[in-house]
Amino acid sequence: MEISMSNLPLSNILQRKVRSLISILAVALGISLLLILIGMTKGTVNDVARRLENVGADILVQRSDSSVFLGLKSGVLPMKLQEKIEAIPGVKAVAPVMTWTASLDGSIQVVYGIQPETFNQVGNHLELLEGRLLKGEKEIILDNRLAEARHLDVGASLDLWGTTYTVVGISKAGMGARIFMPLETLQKSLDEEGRVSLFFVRCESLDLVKSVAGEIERQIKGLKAYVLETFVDTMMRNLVGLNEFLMGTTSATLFISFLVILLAMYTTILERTREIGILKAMGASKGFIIGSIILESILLCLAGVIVGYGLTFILKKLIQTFYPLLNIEITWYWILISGLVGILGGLLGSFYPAFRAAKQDPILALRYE
Amino acid sequence: MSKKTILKAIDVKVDYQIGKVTVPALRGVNLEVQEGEFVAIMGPSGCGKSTLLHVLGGLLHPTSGQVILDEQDLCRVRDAELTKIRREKIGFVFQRFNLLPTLTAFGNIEMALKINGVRNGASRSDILNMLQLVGLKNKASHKPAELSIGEQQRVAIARALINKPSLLLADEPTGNLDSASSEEILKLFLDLNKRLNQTILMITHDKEVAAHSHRIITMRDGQIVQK
Repeated sequence: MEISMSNLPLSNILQRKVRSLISILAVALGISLLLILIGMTKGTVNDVARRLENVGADILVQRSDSSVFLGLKSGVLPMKLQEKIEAIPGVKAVAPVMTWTASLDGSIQVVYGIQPETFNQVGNHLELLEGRLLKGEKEIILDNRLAEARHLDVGASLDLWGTTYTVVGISKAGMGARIFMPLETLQKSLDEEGRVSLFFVRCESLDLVKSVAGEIERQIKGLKAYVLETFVDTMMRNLVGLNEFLMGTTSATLFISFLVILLAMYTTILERTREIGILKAMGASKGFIIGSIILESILLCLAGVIVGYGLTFILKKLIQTFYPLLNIEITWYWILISGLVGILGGLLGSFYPAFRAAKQDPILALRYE
Repeated sequence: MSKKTILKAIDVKVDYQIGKVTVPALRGVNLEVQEGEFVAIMGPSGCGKSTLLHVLGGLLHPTSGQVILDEQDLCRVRDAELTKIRREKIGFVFQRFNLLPTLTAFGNIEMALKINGVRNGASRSDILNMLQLVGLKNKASHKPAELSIGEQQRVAIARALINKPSLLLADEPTGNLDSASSEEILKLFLDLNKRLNQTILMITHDKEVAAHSHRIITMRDGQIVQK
């Protein structure tokens, strides 16, 4: 004989399907919003940082007030600083780079103007999957993700800032920029001859990296030398507004979850006034009633969190199908945080309805129609 | 051997405050119920029957007087203690059954056990026995909406009795039932009273219903006029 047990919170959730479904979906949307926004932010920031790390240089030198998001400022350093940096003991090679951005189908891509020979001396060689290195003036190299997304192959043409460039090579994605062109070409097109955005530096040995970075900052005022090995951490710590953004998004999710459950449980206890009166007449303690309502809220939130996780991965797939160059990084840490935030919001939202229910006069509640 | 007095009300008064006017609902009620008695309280609407039931059941504190159940004065205990007494010593049966609509017949009875701190397992056979006692063992998995009104009231009685209360308080238990169902419920009360020695205090305004009890108490204007 099948007998459903007296699990009041669960039976209430199953009985009031529409209310439960709406509450679950609202919490799920909050969770998805949090995970996707943070995933996109982290994905973009990490992508920038990893690309810089993957250049393989030991040190990145910028003006101290430059943004780590390359391309936001272009020719801010005189190119002649290359010689000064090269003269510092322990420096093996220096590669000047001009950075800029190009808008392709609405997405912004970073462009590096490089000298192929110096660029290859400071770190990992630009790994070409097809074609050759830059030689001529109007030539570019694309990384394979951009080439695939734009269906471009070696020999194809691409318009940037009103000029047509020929694709001469396809590089492996994940190193530096998605588009490389000769340094002089980019300098000319930006009218910034003799100026660069940054320098990549290679040291004689790994032991010297920290001291060389310190020496660069000491000898040439106004420069900031980042040790690239620890660049991701440094970038995450120092990125202005990132932590505030994460806090804001997390708080918004907490608030959504709080409001949804507050409203759902408040209307529920109004609707169930008589039932609460019955429980009280049966001798249910305040703790029993509070516990029952809080448990129902937690179950709703838990279902919302699980649906939210599913929704997030569907959204991620969809976004990456339509925007293949967008990086969305969803980490276990944020999966855990978003789940906790969803449940905590619901828990807080259930307190007022739960305590209100526990305070109800059983006689008035039993008279309630 | 004389029977034990299980319930005693001494000069119980209840006043309701409506705006600035004080309306007396009970005007000094004195009452004794012996263990194993089946007592009916009769009276016209508004005479204070339900108020008296709420006071005797620990749902309402009287303005003055004493209510002693199993040698414990309900007027001198805190709310939490009163709640405990309610779940351990008093069973309620209401006119409108008051079953929890989302739970099955089994679940409704089990809820009374859970409230009383009895966990799953050992209670299962007790619940099925209780359902058998009220003739509904085959409807254990039915929800209230799937039961007839007579069956719903029998589930409510089973729920009220599962914790073996000292006192069963029934507020117009046949008020919403047709005559056949009323007869069934009254027979069940008599059976429970006889077989389990269950003390029952029943409120009704129906003379025929009251006639099934051992003793009829009549109330008028907040007072007992005939014991």
